[in-house]
Amino acid sequence: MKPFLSNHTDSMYNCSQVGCSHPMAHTSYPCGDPYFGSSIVAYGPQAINQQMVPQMLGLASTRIALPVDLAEDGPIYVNAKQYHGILRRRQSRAKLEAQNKLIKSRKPYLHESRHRHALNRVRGSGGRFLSAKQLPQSNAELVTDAYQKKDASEAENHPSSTGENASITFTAISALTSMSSNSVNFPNMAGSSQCSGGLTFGAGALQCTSVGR
Amino acid sequence: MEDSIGGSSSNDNNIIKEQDRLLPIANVGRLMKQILPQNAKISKEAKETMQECVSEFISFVTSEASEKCRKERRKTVNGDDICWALATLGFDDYAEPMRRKSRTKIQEASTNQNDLC
Repeated sequence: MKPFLSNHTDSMYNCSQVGCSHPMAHTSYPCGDPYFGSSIVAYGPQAINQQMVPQMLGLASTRIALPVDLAEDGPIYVNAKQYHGILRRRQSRAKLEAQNKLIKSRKPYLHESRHRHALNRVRGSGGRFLSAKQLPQSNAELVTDAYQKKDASEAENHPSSTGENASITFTAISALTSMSSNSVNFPNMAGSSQCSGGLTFGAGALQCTSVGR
Repeated sequence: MEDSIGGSSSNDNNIIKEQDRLLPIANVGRLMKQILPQNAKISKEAKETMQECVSEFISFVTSEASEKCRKERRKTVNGDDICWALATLGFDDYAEPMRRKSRTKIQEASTNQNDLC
């Protein structure tokens, strides 16, 4: 997806002009008024190109303070080359948030049917799923060997489908925290162990490694 | 049954879904594991934080390249624009290896084309 472009590009270059005129002055609000004010005269493309050269030369080793309104504690100094990009990205993110287009919380799973299928699978010792071969035997010693050896673990995960592996992480979390299958809230995972599957769709063979906090 | 998922109705509101905004967490974890020693562990929170960081970095660099294309009235952002954006944003150490790598890929494609002919 192409990122949303800023509508105040000219005000960015006005900030650049302020930076050029005072290269050594690190004030707290170098571009406060031009940034938030919309009554900025638009420069022609040729004038903008002329300003780029002194910006590159003059600000090679200096840092410009970002507007403090967006920062909680004090000014944040950034690379001068990245100043306009950061402001542009901030505007894009603010625009998306204004349109309520960003999802704040993460969903534990993507597909309900896959989640339910994973809930019905049989687990061995250590919480790992049993494959089709191990299901009739259900030998604890065999599962322990598969758990310890990395190659055996990879062989165990290979026959499973991608969707099943993708649901492993959150099924373990759901089982540990007794979370309702219809709940969208992300549970507290302090002290719990999970696999590294995650929310992946069609990502091929996934490795299931125990990760502890 | 699909309605029980909280985000299933997001398509009507044109909400950007999580899987469209972020890289897959399994791939991010695998990349992080490549650089770590054999017995290292990566917490889920670390992977999620890295997901946010790398996705924002991609948007940051692409936004710079897209701005250049907008000024030059071009519609397609190509690999050279990304390398230029990396250099412009101060990531000079990354721009040159990326340029060499993309050139190698072009040569590989050209070689495959010659084999077919």
